[in-house]
Amino acid sequence: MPPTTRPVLLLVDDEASILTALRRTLRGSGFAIETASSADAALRRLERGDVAAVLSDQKMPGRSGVELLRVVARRWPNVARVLLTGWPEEVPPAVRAELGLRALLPKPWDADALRALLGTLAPAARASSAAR
Amino acid sequence: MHRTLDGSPDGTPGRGLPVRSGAPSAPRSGSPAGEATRDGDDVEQRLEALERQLLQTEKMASIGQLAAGIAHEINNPMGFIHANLVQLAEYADDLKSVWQRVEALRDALDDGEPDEIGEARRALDQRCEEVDAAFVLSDLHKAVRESLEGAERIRHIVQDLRAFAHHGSESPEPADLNACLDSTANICWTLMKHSVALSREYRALPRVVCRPLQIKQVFMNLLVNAYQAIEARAGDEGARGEIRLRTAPCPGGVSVVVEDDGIGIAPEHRERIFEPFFTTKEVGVGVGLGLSTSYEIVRRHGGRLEVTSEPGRGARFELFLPAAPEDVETASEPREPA
Repeated sequence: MPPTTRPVLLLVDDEASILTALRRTLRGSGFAIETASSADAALRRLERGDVAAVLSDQKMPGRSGVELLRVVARRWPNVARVLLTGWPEEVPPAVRAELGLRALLPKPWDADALRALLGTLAPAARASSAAR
Repeated sequence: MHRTLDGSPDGTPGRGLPVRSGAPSAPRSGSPAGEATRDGDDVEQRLEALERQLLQTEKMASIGQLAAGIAHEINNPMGFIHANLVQLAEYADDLKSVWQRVEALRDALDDGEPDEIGEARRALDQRCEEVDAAFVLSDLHKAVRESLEGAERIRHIVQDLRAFAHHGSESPEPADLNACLDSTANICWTLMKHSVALSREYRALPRVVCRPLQIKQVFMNLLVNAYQAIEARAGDEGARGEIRLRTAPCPGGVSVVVEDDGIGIAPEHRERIFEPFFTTKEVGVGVGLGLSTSYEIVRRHGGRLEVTSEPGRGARFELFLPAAPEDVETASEPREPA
C-alpha cells in the first residue's frame, strides 16, 4: 500500500513568532505545514506545486494577504484560501466573495475554531488526525 | 472647555494663533491675537474657536492613524502570546496525564509485584507516545520564551507611548532633543514600518529650552508627512521608502533634519506649505494645519523650520532650535558640511 502523504498547508505571515504559534496550534491537524514570510515567497512555493491550502496574514510588507489570495484564486483556484487578520472590518463581504475565501479568521485566533476549519478543508487529513 | 493637555498654542490663554483675515498671504506677522477692534471681537473669537477645532481635527487625524498603527503593533504579539498560552495549557494537561502514569509506576515499584510493575511501565510508555512527550518537552520552553519576547515588545510599546506623552511641567524646560525625537520616532515606527526604512543619526546635543510635547508634536507632524509622501510615491507596489533623521549641534543651537525620498513638493507648493489650511492631501486626511502649526511652534521657540524639495525627489525639513543659554558654549561647534 502506497504511503499517504499529508496535504500541504502553507502559512504566510511576516512575523516569525506568529508562524511558530500557528504551527503549534495546528500540530496534529493532519496537514504538512510549510511557512513563508512574504507574499512573494508564498507564490514561489505555490509555483512548485502540491499546496492544498493557504492561510495568510493580511498586513505584510510588499503585497498584502488580500493581494496574495487574489493571485492564488486566479492561478490555483483549487487551493483553499483563508485570510487571518486583526482587522476583519477592512475586508468587506464583496472582497471575501471575490477571493472565494473559505474563512476569514480574526487575530488573535481561536485554536478550536482554527482546527475545526482545517478539519473541513481536508477530509483525509481529518481522518488521520482522529487517530491521535 | 477646549483645553489641550500639552499646552499647545490653542490652550494657552491670550496666545492663540494669529487670526488670519481673508486670503492666506504673508507668513505670521507676529501680531498677538486678541488685539482686534471692538467690532471685530466677536468675529475674532469665533475664528479662534474654529481654528482650535480644526487644530484638534488635524491632530486627531494623525492620532487616529497612529492609534491604528499601535493597535496593530500590539495585536500581533497578543495573537501569539494568546495562542501559546492556549497551547501551554494543553501541554500542561498532557504532562499531567503522563505524571499520573509515573505515580502509578512508583506505586507499583513500592508494591514490588512484577506484573503490576510491567503493566504500569507499559501504560507510562503508551501515554508518553500518545501525547508525544518528547516533543512537548522540547517545545514547552520555546513557547514560553517566544511569549515572553512578545510581552517584552508590548512593554516597549507602552514605554514609548509613555515617553511620548510625558510632558513634565507645563512651562518650558531644558530638554534633550534626541530623546524627544527618538520617542516620537518609536511611536511613528509602528505606523510606518511596513513601507519605510528609518535611519537615525544622532549627535550629542546641547539642551534646548522648550515645551517638549510641542516639539514632539512638530516631530510627529514631520514624520507623518514624510511617511505620507513615501506612500504617495510608492502606490500599489509597496516599494519601500526611506526616512532619515539626523541631529547635530550647530552654531547657537541644534539642527534636526527629517528627510524622505517620497513624492516631493512642487515648487509652486513649496512656498505655501507652511500656510494654514494649505493642503495637497485628500479630504479627511488632514486639513492642512500640521505644518503651519509646526512652523508656529518652532518660531515661538526662537527657531526656524525650512524645507528643501523637488518633485519626485523627496523632501528635507530642517529645524533649528536655539540651545539653552548655559549650553551655548557646547553648541558652538561648526556645523558639518551637508
